[in-house]
Amino acid sequence: MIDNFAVYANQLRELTRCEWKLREQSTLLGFLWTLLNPLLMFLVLYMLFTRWMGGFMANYPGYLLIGVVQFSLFTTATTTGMGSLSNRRGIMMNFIMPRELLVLTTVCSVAISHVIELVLMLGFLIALGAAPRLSWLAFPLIDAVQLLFVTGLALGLSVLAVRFIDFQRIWSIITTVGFFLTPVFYSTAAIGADRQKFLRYNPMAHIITLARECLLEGRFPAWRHLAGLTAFAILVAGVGYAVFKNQERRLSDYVLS
Amino acid sequence: MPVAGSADAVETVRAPSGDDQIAISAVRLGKRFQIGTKTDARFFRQMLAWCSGITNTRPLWAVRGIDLQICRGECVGVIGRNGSGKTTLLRMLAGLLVPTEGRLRTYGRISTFFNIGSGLFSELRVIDNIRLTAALCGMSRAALSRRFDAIVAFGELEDYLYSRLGELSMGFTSRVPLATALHSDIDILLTDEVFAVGDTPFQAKCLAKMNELLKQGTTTIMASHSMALIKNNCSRAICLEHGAAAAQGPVAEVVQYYEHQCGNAPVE
Repeated sequence: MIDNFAVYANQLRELTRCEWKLREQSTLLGFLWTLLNPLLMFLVLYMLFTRWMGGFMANYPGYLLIGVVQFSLFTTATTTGMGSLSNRRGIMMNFIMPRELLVLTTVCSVAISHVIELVLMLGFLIALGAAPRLSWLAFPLIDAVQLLFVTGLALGLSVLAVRFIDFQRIWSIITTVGFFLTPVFYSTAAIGADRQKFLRYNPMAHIITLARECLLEGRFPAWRHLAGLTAFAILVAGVGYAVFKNQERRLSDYVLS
Repeated sequence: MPVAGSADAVETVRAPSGDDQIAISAVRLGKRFQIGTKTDARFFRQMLAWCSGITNTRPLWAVRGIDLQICRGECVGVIGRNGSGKTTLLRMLAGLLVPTEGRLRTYGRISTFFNIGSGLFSELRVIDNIRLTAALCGMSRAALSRRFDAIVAFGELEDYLYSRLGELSMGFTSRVPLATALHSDIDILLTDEVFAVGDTPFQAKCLAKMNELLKQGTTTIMASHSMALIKNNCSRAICLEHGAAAAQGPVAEVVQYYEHQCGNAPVE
């Protein structure tokens, strides 16, 4: 059992290293290319909305940046995670290993990129005048909850993606719609009170709100809020894992089809 | 699209070690695929097919009714024409495909030498791919450190360690996973035409290494179209035709049967 765990840990480490290198191509410029997507998104949204909302909201650039970076983690991790089985079918059909490692590997490599993005984001926030506060220490907790949430989603979605070849396109539409239904570039206060209740059912809205409270407003997250979100993330991860294990015996069949 | 069989009909057991000398035991093993057009894998088509009950696929038994018992240290050949079910049988024995029916028990750590180069990253360096293959073959980092020089020497990869895998010729590309996998710890070895790559000296080196493993008591099942390879290495063989065992027994008799069958059709 312990031997197996060591073998799987080594497989996860090596696969993650290769995935990460492949994404970043081991060059500084390669990594900048990865940053370009959230950076461009930030710049476009900032230019578009700064005149509209900048006057109403203090520190809008920081507000926007946190939203873009956290939502980018959600989109990238779920999209690449769900395609991991079909993208790595060569490994899946030729090596004996737990299949979930392939999904976890892609999520891990996205998480490494995200951590580097976070370091740059925090530097940017400081440059904007936000002094580091004690509440920043709570941010890794919020980030860990989000990672758990996206890992569970990626596990479940990866099964759907090999079962239905066009599900990746469907998910791309869902994440695009989700971007507009999440307060990434707008404030929750900007929408009517009667419509704000819909945001209660959007876990990404909760995660981004908590991250902003923690990093911009210097407030520790309301622990009940964070506990509820953590319970939800555990539930999603549990369901995702259960769906994956339930279908694991058929995954090779789906990949071969 | 393939379907898995009912759980009641299938029993697959993988144990680290058995009580007796049996390495692999298969009873009435079968695998059924649903084959048809790829368009059926689309979400809305699937939903439509599910609602209407109409599909344009048909069942195909790639392997059916295979009884096989292989002892530790034995080398068994699997022969047959293209599409006869060799790869499907080996993938089931490896646990990479789940049987639709039958019972399968394997005892020991299984290593598969199928199309192992297909899982590698051509954009990354040779050294990265050696590390990855070693990990996928279950080799620890410490074991890789100890065996690294031997792997590089075996594949004659000294001058290419920091080249991208994609920059190498096809022959050298295939050496990377093979050289690494042959140095991993193996109880049961399943090979599918894997030694048909590389130049003649490298093939000879691979076969010598495999013979070394056989002498150490590694159980081996090899699928191949090379009758010389099968006759030189295996004591027993199984000949598949349309997924069923057409002949099974001493290697000379089975190879003779296969060659006789191929006499009426072009040999691949």
